[in-house]
Amino acid sequence: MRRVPEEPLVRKIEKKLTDGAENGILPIINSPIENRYSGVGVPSDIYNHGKPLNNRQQALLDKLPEYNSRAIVGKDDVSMNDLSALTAKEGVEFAMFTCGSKRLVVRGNNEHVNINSMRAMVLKMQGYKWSGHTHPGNSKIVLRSSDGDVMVLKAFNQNVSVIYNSVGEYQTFTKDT
Amino acid sequence: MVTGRLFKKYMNEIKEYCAENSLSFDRLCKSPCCFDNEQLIIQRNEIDREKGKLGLMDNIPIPSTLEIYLENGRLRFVQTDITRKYLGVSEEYRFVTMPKAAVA
Repeated sequence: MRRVPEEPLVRKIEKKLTDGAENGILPIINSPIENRYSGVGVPSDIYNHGKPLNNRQQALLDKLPEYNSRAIVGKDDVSMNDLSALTAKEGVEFAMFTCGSKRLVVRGNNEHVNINSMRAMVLKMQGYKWSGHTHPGNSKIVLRSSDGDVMVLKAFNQNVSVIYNSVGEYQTFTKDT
Repeated sequence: MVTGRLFKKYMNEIKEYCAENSLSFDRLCKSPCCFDNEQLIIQRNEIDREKGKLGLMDNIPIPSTLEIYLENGRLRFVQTDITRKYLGVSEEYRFVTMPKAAVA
């Protein structure tokens, strides 16, 4: 039987990488410069280095121009990390509530969000769960919950929720029993 | 209600610390808390309902009664000026419930 000559190893690897790139796999290997880390949309880089929001975050912010603005968006269109980025950019609190496939985002000011226990109960009756909220600042101290946070958690009859700060750190908080 | 990975993993150490320092582990467990993988902040277990009515318009954190930090694989406990008031146990309770070694 005639033996087919083997391809050199280097050529084999090159061919694999090229094929992968054409299929959308490993494109970063062929264009490492274009894919370098930019910090866009990353809470800590927005807060510490003034990097801009990404397009998704900017679109959400455009819907929330002032205190007490509310926006309902799809579940996949916003995450708590995005709210942390908005807080890093604007220096104000945001709260997020989830009902099925939609999310309600409420803008606050630098000290609070306009949600009290009564409003929380109304949101619960509408089927919302409290996903979390943000506190402006870059320390872990700002991640601690207040009496009001715990009362809102009770109003939602939930055991836990999260608080994010301006650099993307978060802590889970619970209520008493 | 105290929970989280840190609490679950180091529950025995926290229980021992409470026994050695005459603190109520039961009260601690019933307290609200904030936690991540590196710290567990136990907060006052009596919610101020008047302040609580403000909901997210109240931005003053609940005072902590015990702070537990994970540093280099070991726990560091920090008591505050209200630790005894909210987590302390009475002498009688201590005598009846604590192991002799802890009481001594």
